[in-house]
Amino acid sequence: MITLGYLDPGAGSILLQVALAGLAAFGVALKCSWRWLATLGRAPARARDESRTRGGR
Amino acid sequence: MPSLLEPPAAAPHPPGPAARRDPASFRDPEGRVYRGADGRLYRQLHQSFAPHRRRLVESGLENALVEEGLLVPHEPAPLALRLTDEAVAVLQPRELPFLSYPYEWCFGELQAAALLTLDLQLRALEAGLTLKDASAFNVSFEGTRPVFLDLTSFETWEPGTPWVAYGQFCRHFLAPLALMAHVDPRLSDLLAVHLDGVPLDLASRALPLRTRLRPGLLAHLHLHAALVRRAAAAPAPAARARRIAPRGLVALIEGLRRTVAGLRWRPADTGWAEYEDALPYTRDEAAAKERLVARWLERLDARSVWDLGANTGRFSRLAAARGAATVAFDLDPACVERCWRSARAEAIPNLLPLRLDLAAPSPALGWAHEERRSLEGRGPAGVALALALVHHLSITRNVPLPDLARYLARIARAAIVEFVPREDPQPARLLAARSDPCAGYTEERFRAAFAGPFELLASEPVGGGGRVLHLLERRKDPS
Repeated sequence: MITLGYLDPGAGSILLQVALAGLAAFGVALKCSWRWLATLGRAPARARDESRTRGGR
Repeated sequence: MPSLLEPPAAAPHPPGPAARRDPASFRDPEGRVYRGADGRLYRQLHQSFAPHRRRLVESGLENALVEEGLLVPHEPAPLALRLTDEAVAVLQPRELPFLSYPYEWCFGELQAAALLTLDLQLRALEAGLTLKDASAFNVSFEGTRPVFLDLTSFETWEPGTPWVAYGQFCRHFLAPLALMAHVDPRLSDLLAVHLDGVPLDLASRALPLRTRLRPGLLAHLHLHAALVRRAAAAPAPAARARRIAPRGLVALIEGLRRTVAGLRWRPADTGWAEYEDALPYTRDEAAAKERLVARWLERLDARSVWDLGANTGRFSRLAAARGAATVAFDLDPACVERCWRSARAEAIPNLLPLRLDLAAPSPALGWAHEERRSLEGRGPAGVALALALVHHLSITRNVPLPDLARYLARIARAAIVEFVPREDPQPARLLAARSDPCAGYTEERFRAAFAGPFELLASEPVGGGGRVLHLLERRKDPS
């Protein structure tokens, strides 16, 4: 249950908050996913680099 | 705080006859502020606040905020000192030397108070709490440092719920700051008219079109104003429709913080901030004036000093250096801003610059004209400094000298007042703009006017131009 206390938060302010926070959460999730994908992409590349280094020796 | 976690004492408490509720403390039933019979300030806590206080204490947030100087410390006090029987605990908040109001702050002060509020909200969310209101009146200043006053603003946060004070924050802080930054810094005056914050539609209409190109202002102010207008007649959204991702709420508040921090106002040349450089003193004369004021401040040994017409706070610093809680008042926003920025950079702990028109000092405002106190209601100060001020009030604003003397005696126990003769370039310039001779502005009339409410302790000339400093003490029985 939401306790609103003595302050009327305003329907417009609540709706805007829900929309902006939704966008912000989507942005954060997108950023995290991108970082995760980038990490995955870097891992095989690093493995390839390491094998090349070993081969060079 | 065991007194809060235990059931209330059974013994009924007759409220002390001299205890009086603070007229500004009536909105939130969870914590009433009042002045006890002993003259001290207290806050009583209601049972409904107990779970919130428990979390505030047990999470370590209250201690951390107090230690960092962000929250006014509250010491436990005996429950017997409560104002009403519904109290379960009594606390004694540390009282600030001078309670300032948002409509008296310069741009930098309002921005610092806004950032403090958002930082507290972010810290509160981490601890499973939230601020249930975000009024600018919850903040005041201790010197140049903003400090949060309202302990009972913290309440337990239910993850997934929005910030109920988001709209109030935008009205109290974002709208006036945007107007000050993008239109005119004097628009902080709007906060004295709109005590519950500047209406967002008003701010949105008054702001230039280019502010719609700034994503933060577009979202939190312009779009916000449009949604508030559209939803005014609509019922409150269903609980399901107002669920909010906790991570999203944090990101929203961080974005709001970036928007507030990104607002800039550079004090431009208003003519006043450079005023001191234009005064007809040589360097030696200016130094002699400083020495004299410092000597007289020492003699008066005042704990509080109000520097009226302080400009950028040159003489306020002398008072602050002597340990007096000093308030530097000036009408010009650029002067106040510069004074605040420099005092903050120098870490002067007891100098508070504020914006005030002494010809129309802050009145008593709010509910029943008691909620926000007038300037006089927050006095008297130990000493009022009125240096190079009288001619502005007397000649430009037509304040009669006897009225000025009486008012100074109401707001301060002693005063150091400078009289600038009409032949001096400053009054001469003001007199040249008038068609009447302003015959009442003479040193004789000045002395006669101040002789009623004050006793003249000393007077000494400063410089060769006929300026005279007067050291005055309020008469116990003014004639």
